[in-house]
Amino acid sequence: MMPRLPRAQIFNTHRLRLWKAPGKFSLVLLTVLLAAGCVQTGSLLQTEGLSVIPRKTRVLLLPTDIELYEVTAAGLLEPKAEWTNLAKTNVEEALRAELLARDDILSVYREPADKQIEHLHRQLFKLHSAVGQAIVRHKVLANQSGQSFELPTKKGRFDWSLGSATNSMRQDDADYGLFVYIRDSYTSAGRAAVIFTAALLQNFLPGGRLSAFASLVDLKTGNIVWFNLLNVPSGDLRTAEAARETMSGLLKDLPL
Amino acid sequence: MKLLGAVGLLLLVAWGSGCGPSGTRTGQGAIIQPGERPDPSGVEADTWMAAEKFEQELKTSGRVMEDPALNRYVHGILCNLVPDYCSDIRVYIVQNPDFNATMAPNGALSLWTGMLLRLDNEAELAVVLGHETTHYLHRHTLQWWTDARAKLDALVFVQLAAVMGGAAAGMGRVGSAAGQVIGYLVQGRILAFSRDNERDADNTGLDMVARAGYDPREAAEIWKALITERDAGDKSRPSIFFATHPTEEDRIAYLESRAQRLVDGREGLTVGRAPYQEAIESWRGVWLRDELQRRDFKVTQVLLRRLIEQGSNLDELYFFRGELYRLRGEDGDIDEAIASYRKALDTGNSLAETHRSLGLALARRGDRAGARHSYENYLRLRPDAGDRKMIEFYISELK
Repeated sequence: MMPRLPRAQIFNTHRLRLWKAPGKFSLVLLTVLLAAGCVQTGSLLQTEGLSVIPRKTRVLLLPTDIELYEVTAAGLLEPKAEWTNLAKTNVEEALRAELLARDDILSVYREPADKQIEHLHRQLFKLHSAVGQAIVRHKVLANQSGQSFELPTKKGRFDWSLGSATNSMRQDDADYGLFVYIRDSYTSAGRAAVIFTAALLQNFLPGGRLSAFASLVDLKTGNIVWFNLLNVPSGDLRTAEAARETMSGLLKDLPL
Repeated sequence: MKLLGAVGLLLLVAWGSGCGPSGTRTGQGAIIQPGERPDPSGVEADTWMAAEKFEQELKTSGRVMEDPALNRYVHGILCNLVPDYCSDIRVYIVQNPDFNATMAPNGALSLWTGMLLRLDNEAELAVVLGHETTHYLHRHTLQWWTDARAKLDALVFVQLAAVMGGAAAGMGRVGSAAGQVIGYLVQGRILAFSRDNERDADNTGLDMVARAGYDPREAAEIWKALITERDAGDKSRPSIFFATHPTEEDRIAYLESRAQRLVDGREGLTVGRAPYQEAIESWRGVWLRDELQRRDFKVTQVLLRRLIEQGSNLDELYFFRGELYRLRGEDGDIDEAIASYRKALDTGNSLAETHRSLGLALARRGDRAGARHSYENYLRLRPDAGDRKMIEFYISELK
C-alpha cells in the first residue's frame, strides 16, 4: 500500500561506497576519492501523482539503459561490451529481486510483436533517458560549484512526465513502470598511474564513476512520480553481489 | 623529481624523433569475413556495441528516409559491388543536406541526402558505396580507435613527463609549453592515420567499382564538382567530410591515375545516369528544399547551375533557382527570381507553389497586377491551400 509521502524534496543520504581496488593503487584511489568530492544520491517525489490503489501495485520493470566504460590513461571513455552485457544481466537480476522482495506484483517488459508499438516504446525509452538527464541537470544537481542550472518553471516543483503514450506500456495491467539508466566507468591501470602522477603535481584528475538514475512512472499518465540518482565514484556492477548492493541503494526510497 | 625530469626529457626527444608508439595494425589488418561477428571479449566488440547504439539511435531518429524503392535501388548497387556482404551492410539514407557518408564498424552505412542530391550517376554512387564498404571490410574504425587511444595514452605520459621535467629543472612554463606542442603533434598523427585509411578506402573502393563493371573514372568527377562548390562558398568551413579526408586536389590526381589503369583494355563500363536520375527523381525537390535551408546561397547557386547545365528537370530546377534568389533578396535578386519562376513555368512547371512564389516576388517588385494574377493562379490550382486566407488577404490588399 502506498504510504503518504511528503511533498517533493531531495534527500541527501551521503552513502559512501567502498572502493574495491588492487592494493598497489590504494594511494591513487585515495586521491581519486578526495578529488571526486561529494558522493550523493537524491530522491525526488511527485506526491500529486501518487494515488492509493485498492489492490496490490503492479510494477513493470523496463529494460535497463546501461553502458560500461573504461577510462583510458588519456581520460577517454572506452565502451566495454563484455562488461556491459555482464552488468546488464546482474542489474536486471538485482532489480527483479529488489522488487519481488516488496509486496507488489512484478512483470518484466516483453518486446511487443506490433512493430509500430515497438517503435513507440523505443521512443519512450529514449525520452526517459533524455528527461532523466534533464532532471539530474536541472533539479538534482542543479547547483554545482557555484553555478545554477535551475529552471524558473520548475522551482519548487517536481512535475516531469513522459506523456500519456506510456499507456501503451501497461503490460499485464501494470500501474507503474520502473525505468533505470546507468553509465558506469572504471579506472584503467594506465589512468590510475596518470592520476597518481598528476596528484604529485597537485592536479586532481577524475577516474571512473557510476551514475545511475531510476524513475517510477505512472503508466496511465506518464508522470514521473519518483526519481532517484546515485552518483558515486565507484561500485562494481560486473559482480552480482555488488550490483545487488548498488541497486538496493538506488531503490532505497522507492515508495512501493 | 630529478630522475622523473630526466625520463621526461628523454621521452620528449624520443617522441620528437618519431619513435613514439606506432599504430597497432597487426592482427587487425585481416579483411572481415562475410557474416563475421567480433570476439565478444575483444576491443572490436566494444566498437560494435557503440555502433549498435548509434544505429538504434539513427533508426529511431526520424531522419531516415523510408522510401522502399529508393532504399532497394541503393542497396542493390551495394550488392553488385560486394555480393557476399550484401546482408552484412545496412544502408540508411539520412535526410541531411550536408555532403557526407559514414560507415559504422558493424556495417551500418549512412548516406546523407546532400550527397545523393549532388551525385550524378550510378557509377558515382558506386564509388561512394565502395569507399564506405572498404572502411567496413578493412576494420578501419577499430584500427583508428586502437591507434588514437595508444597515441593519446602515450601523449598523457609524455606531457606529464614534460611538466615534471620542466618542474625539476625549474622551468615549469617551458615544460607545459613543450607538453602542448607534443599534443599538436599527436593530433596531427592521429589525423594522418585517418587520412591513410581514407586513401585506402578510395583505392580499394575504386577497384571494387571497376570489378563490378562501373566506370571508375566517375570518381574524380565527384571531387571536381565539389571543388567548384567549395571555392564558391563564403564560409571557410568546408563540409565535415574534408577534415579527415585527403585534399580534393590530391584525391582527383590519384583517383584519375588509378581509374585510368583500371579501365585500360576494358569496354562497356556502366555510368548509369538515367537509372540514377530516375531513382532520385521524386526526392530531388525535397532535398533541394533542405539544401536552401542551409542558407549557403553561393554554394547552392553553383550546384543549381551545374544541375541546370545538364539539361533535365529544368522546370523544377528553375523553380528552386527562383527560391534561392527570392530568399536571399540582395540587389537584383528579385528580378532574377522572377525570371527564374517564369522560366520554370515556360519549361512545364505546373506546381501551384511556383505561382505563389512568383506572386510574392512580383509583389516585392511592386508589380501589383502581376502579383495578384499569380496569387489567383495559385488558389485556382490549389483551392484547399492551407494559407488560402492569407493569400486572399494579399489579393485584397493589391486591389
